[in-house]
Amino acid sequence: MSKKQSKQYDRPLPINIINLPVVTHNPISWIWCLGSYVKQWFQLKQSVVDIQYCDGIFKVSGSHYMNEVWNSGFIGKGILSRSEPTWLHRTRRRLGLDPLFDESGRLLLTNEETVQIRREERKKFKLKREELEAQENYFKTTGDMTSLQKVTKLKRILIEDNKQLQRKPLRELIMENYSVAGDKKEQTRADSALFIDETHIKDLEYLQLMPVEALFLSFCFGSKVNDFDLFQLFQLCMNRSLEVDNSFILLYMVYHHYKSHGWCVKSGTKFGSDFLLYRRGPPFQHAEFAVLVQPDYKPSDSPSNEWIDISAISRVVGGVNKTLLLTYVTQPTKDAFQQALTMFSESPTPHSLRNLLELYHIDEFIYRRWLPSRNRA
Amino acid sequence: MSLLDVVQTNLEHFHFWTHVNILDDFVIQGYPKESLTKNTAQDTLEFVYPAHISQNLSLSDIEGIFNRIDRLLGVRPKRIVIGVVTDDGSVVYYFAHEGLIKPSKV
Repeated sequence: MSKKQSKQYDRPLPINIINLPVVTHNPISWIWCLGSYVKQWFQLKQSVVDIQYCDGIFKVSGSHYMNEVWNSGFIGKGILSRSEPTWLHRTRRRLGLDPLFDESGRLLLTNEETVQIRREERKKFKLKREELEAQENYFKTTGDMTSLQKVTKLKRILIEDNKQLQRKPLRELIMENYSVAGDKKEQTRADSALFIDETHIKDLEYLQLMPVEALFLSFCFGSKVNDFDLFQLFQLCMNRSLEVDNSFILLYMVYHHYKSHGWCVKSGTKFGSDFLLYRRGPPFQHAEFAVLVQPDYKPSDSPSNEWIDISAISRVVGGVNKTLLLTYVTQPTKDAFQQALTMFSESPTPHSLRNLLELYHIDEFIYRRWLPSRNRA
Repeated sequence: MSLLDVVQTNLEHFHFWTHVNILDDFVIQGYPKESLTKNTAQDTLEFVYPAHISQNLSLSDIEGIFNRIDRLLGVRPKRIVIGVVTDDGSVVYYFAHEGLIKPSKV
């Protein structure tokens, strides 16, 4: 991880601090300090992000605002990227509008591009290996032992070479195999529709927030969503069914719980779970835990996880080296919930929402597959 | 943006499918950049049915999709792709075949 990237992601939450220089008896330092304050104050004003809600989606648009949200705690997902919104950068390079290297010759690759190059290499390797395996099988059936040994040796060399290749710097791989930017790439119909003029293309990407993320930003950091007050936003997220066991509130409790303990919480759909927990964030390492939210009794509007489902999800999660967490949310009584809800609707402040959420309680368990023959130690 | 638009944008600008069109306002057709499975030709037309993750798709719903494509084009596709839109903006894709198929070597 480069210094620049560490600096880019140095805020785990969207909190901005004004850093003032040291003030001494020298009056020049007072002016310096005042200047610095004003400059940073203006920067802070530019970092206030508004969220738009339309067609059932919470959106942040414009690359400045998208980065502001994503860089401060990895909140949201670029709809045309794996996570960080990099579609515009990637597309400009793909269409030959931007170079692959910066002025000092450093490679400017996004996560998606790196993955793509490594996958292409892997595919080439697999094809070659398959060819050799077919030859092996052929010689096995014909009984041509000398040829078989030759092919087996070639296969071993191929596998060794591939190990070397995996360690090879991307820079070298690209120089050898891929056309460097500046080339006019062939354009599809969808590509040509992107151009505004010769050097500019439309930015189709926006950052999409999960409902839990939108409420989190609004509740804890005062972000505006359209012109909703906090209660209206809450109602919207709850899909207008304000029940104690609404699946949104259970999800939100779990999201907020891990967020407040310093974890980076992202959607777990790809692994059949509700959330993924990263120690710091997706650019730094893989997620360590997959979370399944469990109600303390079966709610009316959420599908239940029977043991068979949990076991299936555990195998999926185990296959990608993550630990499965079952997070139980204990609900308050209906009366206590109603009372806090009424207070919240009368005064839609973060304080009243906090009173409502504090009625819930969270317990977590690690679920691990256990084999009597292999787990004796 | 409707579910159809979300999935169409994803196919065109994230997975680089070509000749992507919405068919009769319910399913998307197009050609993938590379064939989706080993044993299919590069120029296989694929059909993608967009669905939201909260939606329940029954067996008869899926059969209905095959029937409707069959009625529209007069050809019954061997398989369809279901594009599931999740609430964080990612689209995940699953195949649906009619009946059993031989698993391909990974």
